[in-house]
Amino acid sequence: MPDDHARGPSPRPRRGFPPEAVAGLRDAFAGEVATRLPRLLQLLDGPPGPDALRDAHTLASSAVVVGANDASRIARALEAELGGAADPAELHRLVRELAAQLGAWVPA
Amino acid sequence: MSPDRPSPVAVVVVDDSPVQRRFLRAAVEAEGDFAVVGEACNGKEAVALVERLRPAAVLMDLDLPVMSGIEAIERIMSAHATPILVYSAFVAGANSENALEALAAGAVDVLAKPGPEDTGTLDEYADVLRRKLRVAARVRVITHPRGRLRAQGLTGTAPSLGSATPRRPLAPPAEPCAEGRDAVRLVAVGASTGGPQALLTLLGQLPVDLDQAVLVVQHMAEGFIPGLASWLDGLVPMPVVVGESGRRLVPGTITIAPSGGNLLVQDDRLRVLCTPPEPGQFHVPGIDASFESVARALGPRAVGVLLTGMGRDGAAGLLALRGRGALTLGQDEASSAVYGMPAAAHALGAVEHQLPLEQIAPALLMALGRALA
Repeated sequence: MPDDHARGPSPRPRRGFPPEAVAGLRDAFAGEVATRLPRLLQLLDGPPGPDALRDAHTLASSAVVVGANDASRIARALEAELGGAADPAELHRLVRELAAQLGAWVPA
Repeated sequence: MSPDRPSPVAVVVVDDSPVQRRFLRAAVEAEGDFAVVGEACNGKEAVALVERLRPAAVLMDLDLPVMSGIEAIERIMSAHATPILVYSAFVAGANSENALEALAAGAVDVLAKPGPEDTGTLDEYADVLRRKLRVAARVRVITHPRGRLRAQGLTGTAPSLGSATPRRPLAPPAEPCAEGRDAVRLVAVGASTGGPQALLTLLGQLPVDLDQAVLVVQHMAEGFIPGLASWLDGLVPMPVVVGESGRRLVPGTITIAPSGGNLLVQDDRLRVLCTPPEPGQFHVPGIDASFESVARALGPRAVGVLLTGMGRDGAAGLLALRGRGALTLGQDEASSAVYGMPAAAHALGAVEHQLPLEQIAPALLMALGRALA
């Protein structure tokens, strides 16, 4: 697992949210990325699987909790694309962008 | 734990994301007044967990695998009614209809998860969450209203007025007269916590060709009123619109007061004016402000109805209506999600007839000389 500094933007200053709780959130998010991002990467090879929409949705919400708002924004766009008439080219672009944003969270 | 400190309130959290469950646990337990006693990853687990643990409150996401959050809420509220605070990304903006669906299913309140454009800190999100949860956990919930409606049929025969003790007969006037109830122009309804499902029950029984205009003032956060209007519009016979300054309330149409201020009825032509909230006004849109304007503009040619809700907004307004000769109805304690506003109105002597929710529309229609829809 990469160290904290390697994981995208640092969360905003907090007024006392316990450090161990923050560390736990970051660990949990890394686990979520490890599970869900590979499923989203499969979009590059074929049509969306049954969990793609939920994966994008969940990553979008979870990313905000750890301060990864740029990743959240991309995941939201991906979620919207998957929820509508998905354009394959746009899907691929968003998946690549999301993978780039979340790459640092994927365990080594 | 100090012996003189009360036990923490037991909460179950429901979310398929481990990140969210961790955040919810940390946020909820931060000040010691709540304890997370169980976590569920889907709606089905949530139903089982609530049945087994009987928590005092539930924090629930809507987008869940296996069983959706809405279905889980319905099942919990029909079997083991528990205050449910929905915490979901699917309730804001274009998704606000989901919030109303959750409230109609029996949830006490909804809170949107922070999104990528939010600039708050985790502590701020946690503070808001605890504040909402404290209120939600105090709500005395009742068995799932939707389940009861399904069991009884929304458009069944009018129930009797039961134990209500009318102070004047709820009957159509013997002959038309300018100031009689046949001249009623407007039905004004106020609601707060538990309001959306109560409104669905009440408004679902009003006929599409009602001769009166209906004004609804529902306490609701900015941005949710259009979703409420759209949601009700799809479920009740009468068309539902959001009020706008300068427009008139239209007979046979339900107008919902917009969020962000107060909707005032200016005159007996039912023109409305939307004004900013008064300094220090806590509940927006304000029921008192609307009711008092209706009392001034229409007096006995209006009917006031005050439904479930926390606090006392609407009580003074209903008293003003009654003082001007309007028929006033209040929801009773047993059928109220929160018997706050109707209780305050009742204590003031503002409620002419206090009725169970499902008897309000029949009573109203009887007073207007109409049959049940």
